[in-house]
Amino acid sequence: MSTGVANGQGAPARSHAVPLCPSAQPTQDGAFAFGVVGGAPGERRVGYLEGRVPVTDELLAMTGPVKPTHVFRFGAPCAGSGCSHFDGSDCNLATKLVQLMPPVSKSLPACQLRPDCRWWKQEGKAACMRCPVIMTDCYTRSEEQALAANPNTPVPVPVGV
Amino acid sequence: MEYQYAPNIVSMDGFSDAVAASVSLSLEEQQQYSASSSSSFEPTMGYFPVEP
Repeated sequence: MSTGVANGQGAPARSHAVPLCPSAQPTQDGAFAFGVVGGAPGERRVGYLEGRVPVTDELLAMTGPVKPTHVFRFGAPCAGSGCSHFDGSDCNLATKLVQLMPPVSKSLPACQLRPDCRWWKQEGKAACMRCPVIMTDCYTRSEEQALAANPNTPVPVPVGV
Repeated sequence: MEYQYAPNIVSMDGFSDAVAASVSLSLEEQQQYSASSSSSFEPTMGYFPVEP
């Protein structure tokens, strides 16, 4: 059984050679939960866990009838060219999030994934300042979020370029 | 630039309660969404596997 859930302790952050995707699926190899979506209806916000909680049957069962990606944020090694958002060097989802969405936080979340996060490595704090409103799956998505989430949406050209 | 939110931390002691609250909120939103929308597809905001 999961050490993370069973003993109430999240695993400490470890360094990964491959950058971690901060909005992964629990079915991916090496996946763990690092956030829980809280807030209020229509104003959901991610709460950041003190540790990384490995994906186990017990963890997934905690969400009952709700899809785990509505409740948790999962991290996992970036799938690279196996993901529609990866262009060979960058995660276009991270780029679009930063360019299309306003920041929602002036302080960096106490995020256990950040040391290995692809979005952080690529976009810096601009990504972290938007991260709390990123839900892998949700029922109420803003127009900007929907645009960013669609792999077919072109990456906007930055102003002044 | 508008900032609305101070990121919060979920302690491992409060983990189960946070998950339960999140599940409850999701069910509430699911009911509202089902009643107000006919749309069924929202792309996942994250890993999106390349089609084979």
